[in-house]
Amino acid sequence: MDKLEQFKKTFFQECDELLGDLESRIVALRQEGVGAEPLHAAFRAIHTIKGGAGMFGFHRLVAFAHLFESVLDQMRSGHIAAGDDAIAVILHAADILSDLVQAARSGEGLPEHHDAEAAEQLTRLAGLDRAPAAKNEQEPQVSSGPGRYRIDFRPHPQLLRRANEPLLIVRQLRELGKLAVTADLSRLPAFSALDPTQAYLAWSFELETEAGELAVRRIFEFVEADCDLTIAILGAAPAKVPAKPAASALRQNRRVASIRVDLDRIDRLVNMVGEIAIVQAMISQQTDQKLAVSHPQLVQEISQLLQLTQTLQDSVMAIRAVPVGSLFARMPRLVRELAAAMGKKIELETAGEDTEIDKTVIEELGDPLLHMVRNAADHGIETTAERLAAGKPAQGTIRLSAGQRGGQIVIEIADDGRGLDRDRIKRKAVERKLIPDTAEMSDEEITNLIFLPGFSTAEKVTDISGRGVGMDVVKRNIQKLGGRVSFRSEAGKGSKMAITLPLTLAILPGMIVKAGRNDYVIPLPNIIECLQTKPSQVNSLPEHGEVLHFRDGYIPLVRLGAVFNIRGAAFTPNPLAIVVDDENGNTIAVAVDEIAGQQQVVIKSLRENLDPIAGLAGATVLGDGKVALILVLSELLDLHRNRRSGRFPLNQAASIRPGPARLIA
Amino acid sequence: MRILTVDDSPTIQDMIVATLAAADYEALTASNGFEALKLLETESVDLIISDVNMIHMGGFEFVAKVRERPEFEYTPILFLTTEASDDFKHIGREIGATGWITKPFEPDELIRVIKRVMP
Repeated sequence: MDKLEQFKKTFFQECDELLGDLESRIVALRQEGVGAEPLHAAFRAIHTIKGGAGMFGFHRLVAFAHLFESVLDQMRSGHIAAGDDAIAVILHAADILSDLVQAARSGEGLPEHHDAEAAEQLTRLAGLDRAPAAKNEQEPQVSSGPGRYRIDFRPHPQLLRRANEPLLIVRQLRELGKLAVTADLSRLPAFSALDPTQAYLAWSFELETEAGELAVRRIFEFVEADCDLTIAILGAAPAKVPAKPAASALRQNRRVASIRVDLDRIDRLVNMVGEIAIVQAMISQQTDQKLAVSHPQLVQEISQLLQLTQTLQDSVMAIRAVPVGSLFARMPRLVRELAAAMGKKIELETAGEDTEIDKTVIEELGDPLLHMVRNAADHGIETTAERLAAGKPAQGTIRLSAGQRGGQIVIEIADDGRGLDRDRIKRKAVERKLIPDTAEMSDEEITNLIFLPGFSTAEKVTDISGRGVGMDVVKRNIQKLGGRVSFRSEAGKGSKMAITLPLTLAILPGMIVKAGRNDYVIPLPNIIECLQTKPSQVNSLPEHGEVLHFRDGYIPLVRLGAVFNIRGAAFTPNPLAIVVDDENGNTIAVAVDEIAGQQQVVIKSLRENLDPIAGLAGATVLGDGKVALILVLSELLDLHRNRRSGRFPLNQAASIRPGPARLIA
Repeated sequence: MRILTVDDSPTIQDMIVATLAAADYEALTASNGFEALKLLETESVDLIISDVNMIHMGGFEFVAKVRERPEFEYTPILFLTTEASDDFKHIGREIGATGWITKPFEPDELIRVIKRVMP
């Protein structure tokens, strides 16, 4: 990548960061007023974007940013108040700015009028349309083109105080053209009285140059106020500057100890720590009773090492953790806009903004969360009239909260709206042919219908990015992160959607099982029970294949050996069965040959080496060096059924032959 | 010659460092005033270029602090600024800055200004 492209990349990354924080700062500005930090931070952000944009010649962006900056600057100096109108203009401007940045990034032009409205609003807000632009100094008429100049340069004694050096100035003059110099030594004192920090010399120059007067003046611009300078032909005296207290420019800023680190570096660190965990497991395996007896000291020290490693692992995983508040930031505005658009009164409450989640998870959560809040505002909260008629307060509330519960992160979106109308849901599902109309369903089953693909209300496909997003997509995305979604609702009272996520994506508590010579990992939290089945418990039904009689019911029995076509897998009439919850509301039994143990499993992605494989998500290296594949329980039942009916999904190889292998990290 | 650049924008920093390196200057960087002051405790530099609008410690505060140290009394210091208004120039002088560079700048311009205050 050539240098310029590299610089642009850095610039746009910087813009992303700044724009990401901008909206929440504007909202905070509204609450905290113009004297507080958010306004200064917002100003700096726009200022930085403007500066960078100027370096690359993104003129449209510069112009808009300049307007934006002017408004914020005027707010800082108290000329504009942070009222609702002003904030609305600024919020809109932030959006337009983001558009302009993206346009600059992609190189695609935006229609001429795209920023016109926002620019006009900013101009009016800043009062720039009323007053003529205040000029700081009289622009002297300067000549350009070839000329002869006589320059008298008489430094004041203190010129040297700020590290200015007349010699360097003279050199630059000489570079402009032909220079004749006469030095005036009249003020030079006797050597013994010489103060080396004072300037005593003066010069007269005659310069022939094509560079123009401006170029000549510029050479002296740093020392203008520290000398007597006359440039003949026009000979303007330097403008006088008004005295201003310097203190107003010095602001006390919070001292915060933080450092900006490339995400790549952290990822590498996380990886390395993961590798350490694997080696740790290997070492664990080797320390058995005999070693404890023959080398007690060693075993004790290994145990200490293991503990330290665990602490290291926890600390490293925490580095990537980011407060979930950044996700919540755009919600208040979204809710405001939705409420305004729908003519409803909705208030958004948030709690637990400080709860920290791994950065990669946060990025995946953004869209699902947006969608859920949108749903709550759209379908949950009733119109003001409806609410009053139902005896509820006119204003509806949506509450967004995050917290840690039992080693997992729980994010809840609750509303006090109309709740789910179960009859309506059922009817709609029948309409869309998702269930037969004779189906008998429990309340919970009906509630879960909203997660079926095809269920989403196609009436309003007004997603923020114009895509239609259904709850099924949301659920799948959450599941891919290793989390789960649940939905509770009470007709007339309200609904609550909960997202549960693992604290970290990279490590999973798992049970190691074997089928044939292959090792697999089943996520521990999903396991309901492990049992050694009896032949009488295992039956085969014509429609469903093998089922297990489990706790008064029958659940599908999925044989790993069959589903993955494993050579050497046992097909016993009484297999070991791990009964699990497959995240889709099904309880299934996974038949395996052996249970090898339990451990914290470091997830390694297979994506770089292999196409997605149904039923598997990643792999890990076990303590004995063997590779184990991590099962995706939610896909097992489908695989089981497809196999029975002879259907194979396109990305499923007819036979997988994983074997003992070393994972090349 | 060693030049310290203090700016919290990685974009600007990258460009300055590249320009300086191409002109055979040794470039040191800091993203904020605190970092820079710490660096200056152990490193000597021949020129300091500092942005004005920085988080945590603004450019003016930083330069004022630098000037308090005797070993940097006569080190040339240039501000990076988008507008060199009269106010700005005045305050800059009061703080003890040698001069300024306006953003956006061409690489040649940057070097030329540097050469005006540092051999």
